[in-house]
Amino acid sequence: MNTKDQLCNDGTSWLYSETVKDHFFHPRNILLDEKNYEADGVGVVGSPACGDMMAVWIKVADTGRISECVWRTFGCASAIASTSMMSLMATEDGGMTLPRAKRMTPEAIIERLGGLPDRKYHCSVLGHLALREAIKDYEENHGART
Amino acid sequence: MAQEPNTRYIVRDNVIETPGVSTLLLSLSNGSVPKYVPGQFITVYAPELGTPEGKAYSISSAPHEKTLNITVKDMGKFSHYLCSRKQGDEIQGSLPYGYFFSESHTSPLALICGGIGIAPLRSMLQAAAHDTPRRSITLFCSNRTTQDIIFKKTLNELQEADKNLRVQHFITREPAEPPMHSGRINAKIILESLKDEKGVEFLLCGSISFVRDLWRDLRAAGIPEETIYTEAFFSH
Repeated sequence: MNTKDQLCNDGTSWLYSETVKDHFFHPRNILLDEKNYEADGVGVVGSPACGDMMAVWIKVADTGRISECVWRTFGCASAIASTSMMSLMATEDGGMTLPRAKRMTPEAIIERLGGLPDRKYHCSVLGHLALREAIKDYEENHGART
Repeated sequence: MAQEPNTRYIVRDNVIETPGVSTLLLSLSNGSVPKYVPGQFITVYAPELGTPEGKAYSISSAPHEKTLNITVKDMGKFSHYLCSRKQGDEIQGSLPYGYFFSESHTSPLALICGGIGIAPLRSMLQAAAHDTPRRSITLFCSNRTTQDIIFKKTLNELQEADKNLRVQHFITREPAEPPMHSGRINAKIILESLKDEKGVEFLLCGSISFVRDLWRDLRAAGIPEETIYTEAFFSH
């Protein structure tokens, strides 16, 4: 690991990793217009008046795995990058099961991003909380899957 | 949305736990408390300080207790404001919220905290003592000095009352007398202590660096990601 990677990884500097920059400039699974999007579950956390806001929409396949995870945020670069990564993790390799997706943590997202400054930790929490809300919304309308 | 400033809490008491750490005992104006799950938090708002965004504080009481408590470390303008609240004062907050809790009622638990990270774990310990006293729980509690241990008396009482609860203290900034440990908690010590347990779930709470380092350490030791729950806060 080179010096820059170490600095990004220990949370103390303001440097962003190359992975963070990639996901900020090229966010995956962003949804710009939800009018015609039929989600199985929707989660919204935060408030524009209080800072960041995050919305996540999921589709769940018959297998019980998340087939689509799209999102939109009123947030900063770290919120965009971490939610983009979260959406990728939720849907890669055939998609996470709902019990597994519930157990996703900010630490796992940050690890995949190659680190985030500690002062931006809360940005990575928003995406995974919105995903939890979307799963809760799905389970309330479709029943919990185990 | 669950974290709106839509709830007014009345301060019923303010208890000093250790130097610089206070527990605010809260209830609604009619004396009741909103429903919550151990591990959840409320977001507290203080627009009079010029900060429109709220700050999250873990609930340290258990649902069967008469008040909803938050335990606050005085470390800045906002927390100092909270620590100086007096009986009868009002606090604007959200309803309880969050997902820092095991959905199992039977799995052995390893509760691991640094400093004020004990707050939501106290809630879990009190609730377990009341609702599921046969559950195996081990608390790994890290503090700089023995004087910094929050809820020390409560932890001793809970451990004496329940043979299924083990409490291990780690002291990082001064020599510790056995049975307390000197030095930082690490995965090796935790896993050695839990070697006879199966299906353990790990709940980590503390500063961002404390939680990140232990999360990485546990993962490197082969603990599956989905068995680790985390709650972290910015502390410097």
